[in-house]
Amino acid sequence: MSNAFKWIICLVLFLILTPLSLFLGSVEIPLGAFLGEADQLQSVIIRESRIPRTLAAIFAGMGLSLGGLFMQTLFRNPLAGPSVLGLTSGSSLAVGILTLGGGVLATSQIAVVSAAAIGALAVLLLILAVTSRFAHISSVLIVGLMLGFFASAIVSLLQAYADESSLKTFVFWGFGSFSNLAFDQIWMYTLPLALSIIIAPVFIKPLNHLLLGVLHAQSMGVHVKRLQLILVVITGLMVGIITAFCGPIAFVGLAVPHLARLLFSTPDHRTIVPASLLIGASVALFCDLVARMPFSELALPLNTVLAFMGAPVVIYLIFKGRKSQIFS
Amino acid sequence: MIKANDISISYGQKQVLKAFDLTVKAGSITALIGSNGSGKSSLMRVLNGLQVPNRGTVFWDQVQLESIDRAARVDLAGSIYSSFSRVEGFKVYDLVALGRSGHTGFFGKLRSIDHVEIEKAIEKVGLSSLSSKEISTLSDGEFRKALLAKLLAQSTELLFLDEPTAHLDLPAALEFVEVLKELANQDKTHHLPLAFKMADQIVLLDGKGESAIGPPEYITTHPMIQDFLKTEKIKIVSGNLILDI
Repeated sequence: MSNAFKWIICLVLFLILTPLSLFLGSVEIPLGAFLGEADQLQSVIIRESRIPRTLAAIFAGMGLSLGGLFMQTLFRNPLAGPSVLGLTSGSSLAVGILTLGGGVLATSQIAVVSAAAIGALAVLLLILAVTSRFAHISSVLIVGLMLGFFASAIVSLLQAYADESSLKTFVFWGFGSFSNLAFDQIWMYTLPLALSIIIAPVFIKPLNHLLLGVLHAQSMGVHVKRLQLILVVITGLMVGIITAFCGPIAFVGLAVPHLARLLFSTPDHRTIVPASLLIGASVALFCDLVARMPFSELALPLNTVLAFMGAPVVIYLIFKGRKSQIFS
Repeated sequence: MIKANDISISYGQKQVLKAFDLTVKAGSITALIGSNGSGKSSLMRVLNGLQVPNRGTVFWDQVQLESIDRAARVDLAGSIYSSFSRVEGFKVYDLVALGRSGHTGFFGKLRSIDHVEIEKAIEKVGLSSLSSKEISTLSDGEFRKALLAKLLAQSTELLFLDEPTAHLDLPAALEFVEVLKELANQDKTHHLPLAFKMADQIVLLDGKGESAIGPPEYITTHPMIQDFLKTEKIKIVSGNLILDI
């Protein structure tokens, strides 16, 4: 299979999934409605539900995949993902405190979004303090991991004493969903993510050098420390925004870069960066479609679908043995 | 080509190099030798501009190294370090193409001149038949040669090689050194008998701040070499070094 053919497959998948994501849902909307013949109810659904949802999925898929790829190359660890920074844990903790501990506080959607953003931002600031203080970048991994344990311990404690309805709010947030984005929040969500994606090509050359090792990268003129800092900030911002609006989205960031490497059988970032963006968007759209179960009354938690799809990919990679050792 | 003035390197209380001066002429080979921890790698990083010495100045072509922009150094000097990752999925050609990084544009797109230089570099190290082979499947010797080809594709005046013949068997090491000799640029090697055979100049470090610099004949008779050789299982027999196996 030639590379051109693979790109076409990726592109066609994306171009099929995007309109599908717009069409399918609990309310049937005919094609004509999208071409300007919508009645009032239909146009409200398209405006307030379908468009934000599709955009949320596309940008979350792209952002998390890009962040996952950055972290995997930066930490030279195939199991790194955007969640290694512990930002998701920070969001979880903040949302947990708000929904479970707040009690009397109204847990409106905007309050949850703000809490998640604040939690992620707090962790990001902590990570930045750590990154500049430690000689080795892997300290960041450990701090992120420990923060995760710390956050989940507090969340468990809050859960133990929470009442039923606030527990439900928190658990539902943890499912992850692309349908929480409101129409007037679209810019707040897409703009920073789009900017991060647009500047991604800047990092292609230095990331390729980093594949060979830190010394090699340095001798090729890469300012490794600066690169680490910039990528941590960009990934942190992307994950923070996505988690704030969509909840903790699992597996996409970890699995998609592997899928891209598997498909194009190269670690070259000139290929893997665009491929991860395209595949990430498609994976998010597809899993969201499955989670919606368009032809039934039911809906599945998004993270359930993502784990069902993502876990086998990771297991497959492990079974492939040496082949999956992207980083020797 | 390279000039080092009054270099001192220390880690905490331990001074590995003090008041060190070095001149390396264009088209010559200089070998750094010394036992483990004697500061060879530190000195190389300093000469290469990857580490700032505690004191002293390094010049490349009479220009103070600090005043050369990091990105511009790629056009002047290339290096191979002994720690490397054999990335899965990279072909020899892709690896060598990375050497063209300083010459390509923003996205690293290769032009026809780059392809010519890459092919030339691969041919020079004798890997033409393997250019579409994945680097993870190469032997150690072949991989070293691929790294050297990457260095050649970079087409710089200065070459820094950190233990270039480590992990190579003798035939492979000799073959590698032949390629290097042909290029006659600077390098650094830890393979002792080879270092003495190929170098125009040898720098011997004792790790306590002392150093001896001179042509191979001078170093073999230098008092410092006796201490060093105790650690390296090598005997000097009438001026020629032989391995004591």
